[in-house]
Amino acid sequence: MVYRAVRACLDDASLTMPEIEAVVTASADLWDGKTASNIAITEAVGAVMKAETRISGDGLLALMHGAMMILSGHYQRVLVVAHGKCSEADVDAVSNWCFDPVYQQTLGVTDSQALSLQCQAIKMRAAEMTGEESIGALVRAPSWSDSCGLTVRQGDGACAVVIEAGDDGIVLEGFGYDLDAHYLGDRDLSRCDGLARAAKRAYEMAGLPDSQTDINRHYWSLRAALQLPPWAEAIGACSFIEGLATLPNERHQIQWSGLPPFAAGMQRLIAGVKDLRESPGSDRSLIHGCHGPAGQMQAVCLLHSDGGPC
Amino acid sequence: MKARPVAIVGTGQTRHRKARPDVHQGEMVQEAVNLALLDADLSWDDIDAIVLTNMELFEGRALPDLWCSEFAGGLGKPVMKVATGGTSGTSGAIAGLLQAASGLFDTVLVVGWEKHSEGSTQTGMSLTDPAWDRHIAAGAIGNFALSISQYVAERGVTGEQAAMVAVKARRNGALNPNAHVKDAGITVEKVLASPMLAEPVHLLDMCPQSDGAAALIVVGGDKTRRYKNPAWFRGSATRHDQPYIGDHDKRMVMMRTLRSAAQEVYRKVGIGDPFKEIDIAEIYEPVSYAELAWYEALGFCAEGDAGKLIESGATQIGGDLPVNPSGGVLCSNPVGATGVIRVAEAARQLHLKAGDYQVDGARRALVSGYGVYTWSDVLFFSAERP
Amino acid sequence: MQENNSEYLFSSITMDLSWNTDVGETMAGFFQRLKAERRLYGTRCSNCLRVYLPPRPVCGNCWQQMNDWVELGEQGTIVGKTVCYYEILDSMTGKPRTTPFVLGLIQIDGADTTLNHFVETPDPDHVSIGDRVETVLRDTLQGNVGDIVHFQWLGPPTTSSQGSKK
Repeated sequence: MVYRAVRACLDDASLTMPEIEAVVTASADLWDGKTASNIAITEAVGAVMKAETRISGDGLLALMHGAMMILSGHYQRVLVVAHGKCSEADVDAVSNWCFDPVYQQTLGVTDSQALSLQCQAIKMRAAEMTGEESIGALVRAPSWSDSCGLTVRQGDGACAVVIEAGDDGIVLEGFGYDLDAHYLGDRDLSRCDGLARAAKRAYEMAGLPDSQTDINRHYWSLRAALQLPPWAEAIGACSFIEGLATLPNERHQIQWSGLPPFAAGMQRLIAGVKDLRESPGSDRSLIHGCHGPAGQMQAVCLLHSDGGPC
Repeated sequence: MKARPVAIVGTGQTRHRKARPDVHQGEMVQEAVNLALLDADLSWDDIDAIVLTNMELFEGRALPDLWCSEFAGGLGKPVMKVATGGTSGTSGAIAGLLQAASGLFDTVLVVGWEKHSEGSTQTGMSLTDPAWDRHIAAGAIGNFALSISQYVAERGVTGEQAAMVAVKARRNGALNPNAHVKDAGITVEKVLASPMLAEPVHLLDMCPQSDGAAALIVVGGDKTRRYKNPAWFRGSATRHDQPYIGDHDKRMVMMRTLRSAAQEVYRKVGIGDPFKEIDIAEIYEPVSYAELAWYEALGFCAEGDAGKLIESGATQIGGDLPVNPSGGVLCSNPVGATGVIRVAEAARQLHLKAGDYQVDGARRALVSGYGVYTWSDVLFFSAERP
Repeated sequence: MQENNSEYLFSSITMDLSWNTDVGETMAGFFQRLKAERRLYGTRCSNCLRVYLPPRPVCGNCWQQMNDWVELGEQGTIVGKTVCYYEILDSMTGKPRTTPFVLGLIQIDGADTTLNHFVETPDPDHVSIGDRVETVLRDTLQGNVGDIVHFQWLGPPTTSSQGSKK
């Protein structure tokens, strides 16, 4: 599965494996049921006798680390690969093991419960702000009236991209990532401060102001549609209330067909790159990635295209 | 593009022990981080980004960084976790050094930890392919012994020579308050009289499993100015390899990853004769025999001369090239932290803060990391600014 | 750090997760052939001609997909050996394996890589690098790694037992 993604990526970039200097991979051990899950894919990603670094987390983090390796001047061209294969384990049961063993794990909390709590918090905030009791009366999509709004399924998948130093074509002009508090009770789940900080870092790196209302497309890798209004608020795209009424739309895209965990951010990135390639003229997209309970770890990448060939 | 110079300016380690039931993982991490901050005279607010390293299945946790980062001061900061098996610590250190060199962050904290006492290492060792390797779960010791049998057959090293490595390590460890295993009175006879685990490996030839954490403070740009003896990062190389033990022709003899990584670093740094030009080395030796094999792969001696090199005493403290003056992996081995400890110990030597095991005139330090069956990292630091 | 305090609290958690790891197309091909023919097969890289056992989909050295299956011999040579004195659980029986037991790195005739596996022998101390072994398969094959029970020690090589070593 991973080999096929890497093969397709190198073919797309007209590169051969010896032209790749280093590899950064992203995966999560327990989701794969392996210790150091990159060991299983060393051959597939072409890392034999090569520098490979493995980030445990969402693929966008691996992409950012690859970018920092290039910015450091130590490497010129890096292959980034992420994979997630949730058909091999009960992913929700596994997710219980990423809660602290002293309190939250023993309560049996899982990712989907954290997601439910988060969606409840978002609904309560919406009700407080508008005085409306029913979420259905507030929001645009009728399906948002279920417990989390529509949820995005998790599946199997692998993604690969090559990044290199340069300033032509599609440029990664800024990125930021952030880790929020672990205890769910420590966070206001109806907001996303971690995402706000990650976005702020990305805007700062790209030389953009904090509030970004003119980014053409946003590629979200969230788990539930209800997360979108507060998260769009966090990146400065619109207000919470505005988000409830207008999102999702063609500028804020959700991947309804499902995403592989830990490769989700990379899948959104590739979708964004493909759209930028097809769009004429100057264009800017925001790619979102996250992992951890209720989006504890947040990542934002800004892509800019000058309309030239890629 | 020329790399921005970065240096390690602070290190912190817990007292590595068989078990640390007094603290949980996060508290243990906090202990090492606080010591590193104290060493660098910084506070939590000064940290721009954090790299964590830990082998999660050893404690049976998933993405433990989500929980433990808070204890490293990571709340609301850019945090990443690097995990690549035994090389996690050295790869995490390289990641932190490169992140600082990228110019995005001025001050990066690297922290590695492992709490072996909390989980089943046997479970954690179910590396690689579940369809094949788990079935023949003879463990790391048996697999080491297989490769050692080839090394012994090829090079003729003796049990006594390997035992001398173990003796050097435990005597050095006795000088290091953080070391888990220490024994100032150990002898070659005592090593050879310890229980045979898997021929020719005795109990005292092996590394322990420890609880412990280690932290590094990496700074770049103007932030380096206030420090008297920074350990400047000069270069690194990483080599991964095929995942089965059987893929490697005479793995310990050849060790093509370590050879190739060392050559790349020597070329980058301009080292012609590693034995003469390196002042101190902190290498990842999971078993006494491995240190001998690594001497050859790192070019410290000619092929087949490793036995003579340990006999000469040149790799002891006070010798021409002290190897693992801290006691090394044979004394302390909290896996996710072990590579970080190698880097921290090399940096401490350049900081001239290694106390009783300080190597006189230490200005150039080499670090190696080891993991899976053959994966290698090599890092080089100097007292001289690049 | 408190080193002499015996009053500690623990949170005891037992891991009872399970995974259904897909063995992948290549290993499935290996087990199907093993079951049908009671023979081991490896995959060969069309670039460097290295024969891999266990078979792999990709040659890591050449980063080349492998599609050629090669039939391997029933015997092999010990290229690395150790006698183990520590207890391990036998994954077949769930009980500790009797010690000492012999582990070998075994190069099956026709393969370039080696397998780490158990060597069955009446006298562990007489097993040497270079000795020959024979593959012992389970009577009723199930199509998993347990089908290879162990390798039976045959003794030092004789001209007749020396297989087609490349």
